[in-house]
Amino acid sequence: MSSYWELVKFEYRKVLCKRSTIITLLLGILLTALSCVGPLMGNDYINGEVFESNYEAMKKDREYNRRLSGRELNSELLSETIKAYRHIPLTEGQYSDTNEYQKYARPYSEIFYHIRKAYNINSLKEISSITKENLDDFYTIRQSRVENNIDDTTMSFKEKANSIKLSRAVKTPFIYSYMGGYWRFFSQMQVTAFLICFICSICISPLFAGEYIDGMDSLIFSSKYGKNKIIRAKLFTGITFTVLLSILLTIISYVTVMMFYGWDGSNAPIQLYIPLSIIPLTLGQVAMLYFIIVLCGNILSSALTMLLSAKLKSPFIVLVIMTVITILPVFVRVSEDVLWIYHLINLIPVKMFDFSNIISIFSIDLLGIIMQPYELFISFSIVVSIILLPLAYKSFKNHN
Amino acid sequence: MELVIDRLTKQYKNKIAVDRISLTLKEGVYGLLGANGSGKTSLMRMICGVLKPTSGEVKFNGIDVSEEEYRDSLGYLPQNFGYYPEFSAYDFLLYLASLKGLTKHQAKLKATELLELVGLSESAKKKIKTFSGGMKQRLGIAQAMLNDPKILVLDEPTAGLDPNERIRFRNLISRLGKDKIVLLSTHIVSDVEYIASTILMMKDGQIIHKGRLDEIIGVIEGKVFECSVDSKRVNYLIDNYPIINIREESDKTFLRLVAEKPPCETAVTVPAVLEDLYLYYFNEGGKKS
Repeated sequence: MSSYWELVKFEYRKVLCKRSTIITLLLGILLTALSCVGPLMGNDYINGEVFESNYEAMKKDREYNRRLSGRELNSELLSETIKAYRHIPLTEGQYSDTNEYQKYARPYSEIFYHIRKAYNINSLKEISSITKENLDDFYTIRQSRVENNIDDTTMSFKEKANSIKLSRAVKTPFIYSYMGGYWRFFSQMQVTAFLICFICSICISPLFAGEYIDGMDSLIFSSKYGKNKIIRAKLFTGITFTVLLSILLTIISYVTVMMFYGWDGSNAPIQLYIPLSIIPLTLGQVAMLYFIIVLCGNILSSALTMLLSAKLKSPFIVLVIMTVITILPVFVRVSEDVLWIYHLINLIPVKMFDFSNIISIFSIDLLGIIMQPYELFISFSIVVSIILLPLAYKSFKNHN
Repeated sequence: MELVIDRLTKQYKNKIAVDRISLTLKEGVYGLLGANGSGKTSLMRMICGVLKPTSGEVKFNGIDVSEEEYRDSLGYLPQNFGYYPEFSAYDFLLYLASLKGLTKHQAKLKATELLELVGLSESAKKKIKTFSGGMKQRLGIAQAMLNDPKILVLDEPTAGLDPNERIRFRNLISRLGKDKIVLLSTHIVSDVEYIASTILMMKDGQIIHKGRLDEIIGVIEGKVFECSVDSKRVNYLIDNYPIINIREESDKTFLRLVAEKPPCETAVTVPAVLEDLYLYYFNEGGKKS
């Protein structure tokens, strides 16, 4: 067994001593950290003049929202919000540019978002149509909106029933909490996941194909462990490299984002972020779930990279194919009307990384088993990776 | 100790690289001679389990080439062996030692010993990318011997070595042949002549001659001639006989050639050497008299 770990150590060395790996890793870390704080750079303009910097805006909103933290999202808070928004004059242009918005409404902007979603408000004028009774029935109206949304989909009866059942398990009332850190983290993780995927493709593509290019294949295949232990060591290296990189870049993203935006909100329900979500989980749990999906998706991508690396003769061709697989699906938009195609496309790793695909209202009936998209993503990634890894093993072993 | 090669064949799309070769090799140094494309490398790669044969089998003491136990007895220096440019010579040997199943302790001892043997001790910690061709070749030889193999397959082992290194290496292989099966291929006929106890001549995927040096040379004994002729006669002889050597002299041209009977009046028969046989068989166009 010790020789196995010795081989793993050498495989890591081969990956890490490459200049391309070092540059890619350093760039990846830098890009991750920069993209976390990117939205804080620059300014907010009103009528062509700098109103405030984005960083100041974040701090101001954080302060406003923290004042509301701990309050129940009930008719009292909703009334306060509507009252604040009624100060805004009904004029042309963006209402957020008005002084009244800045003075009265902005501190309630997060709560107003919930009102808009629950009462299906598209313009400021429509807030007058919300009655006191409507506000008292906030959770009933919200639930009815959720169920209408579910009903409007092309899901089967069984799938719809499951989504409705799940949505009814969401605990109410919601206690408001500032969650700017999580809001930013969820936006950032898609970029981070994409970076992890790309870095892994660059670093892992030479794992097998690099031996052909270096002319080391003959020496490896003629050695005692050249057709068994070394292949297992390579596969282990590829997978653990992906896991470690995913953990590293996720931690960098999480810590950087939270340091700037604030650590609050991990116990708050996901519905504070996506008001009509059907998932009964907290922001902290969703963050963990998101990480697991990013991890699984990247393991799947790495397993595919290793299979291509074992099959093809050049790491460059592997990298080109993986780049196409990584980038192209980002531009593919599939209608939700034909759900099986929609779900199938979402199984491509980069599609899994889209937060809206993870926390969606869909349930999926897969051969009689009803599951949520995130459950399908995780199971699919694990099953397909388990299939791909032995294929990579066999391809390298049988390479002539 | 017996390496049995039984009807070993390798066929590429429309070319037979190795054609039903059957051999039994015991302890000793076997020199494999053949022109480019004669199938030497394909044969060696199949013996090392690197290339899958189309048919036939290779067994060492009854163990099939595909088994781990077989590879445990094998040392192989490929023709154009690769390396990791960022690794030092010492680390490269440690890596291959772990691939060959040596413990960390054994690997360190063996790597140090072999680097000393091939004269790379002082460069042990230098990156391989800084090595000259000869140094890389010596490192390749060292890695092939890491696991103290019972079968040592060396494809063009002396390529890139300077004359001193070549002689040193030839002597080393000669000693190894006492308790190992050493199969080496080379274009340098004199290497085979000096160290191989048995010579295998390969042409068009087949072993056309196998035997000791004196046995194998016997084929052309009495057929090697030397003569000095004028310029008119030179062209005729070049066109009609396998020429081994041409040297311009003051007013004539000296020729060494192979012929069934004296090719000209001045021709005298001389003792044949392996190079004569090699050129006789592998001369351009295969002009055998």
